Amino acid sequence: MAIEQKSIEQKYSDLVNAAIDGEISADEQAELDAFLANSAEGRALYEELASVCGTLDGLDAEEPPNNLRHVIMNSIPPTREPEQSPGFWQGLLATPALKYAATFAAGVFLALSIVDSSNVSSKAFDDVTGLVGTVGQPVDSTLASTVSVDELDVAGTVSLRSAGSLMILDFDLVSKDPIDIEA
Amino acid sequence: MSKTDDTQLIERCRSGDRKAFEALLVEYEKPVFNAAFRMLNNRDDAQDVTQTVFLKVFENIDQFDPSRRFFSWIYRIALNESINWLGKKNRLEPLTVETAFEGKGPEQELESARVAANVQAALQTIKSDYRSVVVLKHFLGCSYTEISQVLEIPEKKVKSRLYTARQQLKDALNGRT
Repeated sequence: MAIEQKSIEQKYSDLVNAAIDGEISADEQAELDAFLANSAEGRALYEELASVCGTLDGLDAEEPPNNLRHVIMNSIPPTREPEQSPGFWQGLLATPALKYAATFAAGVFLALSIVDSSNVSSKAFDDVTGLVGTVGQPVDSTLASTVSVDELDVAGTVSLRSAGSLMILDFDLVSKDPIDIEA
Repeated sequence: MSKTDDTQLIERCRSGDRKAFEALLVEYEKPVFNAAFRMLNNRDDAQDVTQTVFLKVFENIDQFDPSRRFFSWIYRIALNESINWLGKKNRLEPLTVETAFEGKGPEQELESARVAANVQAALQTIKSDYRSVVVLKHFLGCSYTEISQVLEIPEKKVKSRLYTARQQLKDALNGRT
């Protein structure tokens, strides 16, 4: 019984608020009027809340400081930063397939380097020129998967090949624009 | 300002038109400042928050979703920045009447100023979630639907928060008169 009473109160308190805020339908207003006619408690609630709202609504708006607009306009940059277009390599690596391929390739390269370094004397590392631009010898391999790439700056394929226990990533990409390489 | 007008200004802002940004500033400076002032009870803090709000609008205008109303976006930023400011300044403790008047006797105040100070002090006694709905309803003139859009909460919750806030304000004001 108490729960029912509480739910009724909630319903009418919502109607009281809605009426004060002018967000009540004609049917709801009629329902509220009927309730208020028989409830001194309801009328007291209405008057109290209407008084609070009247006080709030009666306050004058605060005027911002006179110089605020000037301060704000002076605080913003002269021009907005344009949307940054990604560079060639950023754009290339932003392609999901290439991102995974590059990560995989880096892992393979690292693993092979570790394996190879165990067979190379420390003296070999004194002369690193041989490591720069090293191209692996062609090996017989089987194509496992190929991803086609056709982006704004670059097109071609990235292929995953297997050769025995080796996995090879084969990049066959062509830039659509000239590339300047600076050493 | 209509949604169409705002949308056109926002489009021009996105292409770097400072005049368009200034037009938005002229339109929304006063409500944003008022929202901050009612939340913070301090004009200097409200000025700083207003400045931060417009800087954020300028920097993030590309992220504004044009399917929404601009006012709901900027009011939301204003309320969030005010709440963040409260956290930073550790002003969550309710103000007392004495703090609000700060040495000025009632006889030195006009009646309207006394009421305004009382209301402002009472506002600081309620939680910021409740204060936000009061600010949107009574100082920015938003409807239930608009408050729901700004705060991204259901209308039912708007109504219940408003009801609770008013009850708490009534109690706070009665305790001060």
